[in-house]
Amino acid sequence: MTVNFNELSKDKSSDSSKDGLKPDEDPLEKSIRTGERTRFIYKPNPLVDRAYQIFEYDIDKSSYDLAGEYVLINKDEDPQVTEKKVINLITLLNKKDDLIDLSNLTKARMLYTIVPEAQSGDQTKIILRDYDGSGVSKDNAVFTIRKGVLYDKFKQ
Amino acid sequence: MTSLNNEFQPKASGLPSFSIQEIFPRLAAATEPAAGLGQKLEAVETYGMTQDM
Repeated sequence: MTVNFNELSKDKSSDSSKDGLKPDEDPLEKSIRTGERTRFIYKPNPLVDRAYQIFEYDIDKSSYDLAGEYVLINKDEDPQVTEKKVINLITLLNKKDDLIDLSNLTKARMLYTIVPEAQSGDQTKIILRDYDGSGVSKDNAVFTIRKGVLYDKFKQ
Repeated sequence: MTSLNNEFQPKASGLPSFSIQEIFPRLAAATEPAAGLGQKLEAVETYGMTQDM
């Protein structure tokens, strides 16, 4: 078998973003291509517009399992901003710090509400809200993740 | 070749890894508008300070 290292190098330099994604490649496809297994990855939901599925790596099964979702409510939001918010969320869940600065892309402060356990079943559910400085905050998105990933430190 | 992330942890077998209060304020900080929220919010904050006094 012949391995062309020049081709491999060229392949790496063609990565399109700081996340190393190729054009039209989602993080799940990247993890398969590179062999890298971060704990959480995301993928656009193929069935729901403006929604993302969140997968968690199961080391016993060596596969990613669906662990949650991020569903946009405010459909007026720029799709690029939405995806960058999801990327930031996944970055934090993976215990990394290199967040994308969205301060010049948004005009509203992000607030969040924790949905009570009695209403969220076997999941942890967070409602993200936008506050633009006037009136009351508006729902922006709903983030759900399997129970056990996050905890409320005020309920310990 | 498989390269594992240094921070990789297997699917939770014990305590949860993160608190909600650890994750979401940092997420919000990354989206805080650089230009601020405008006159109305400043007015609210001024009112709040007056109330505190």
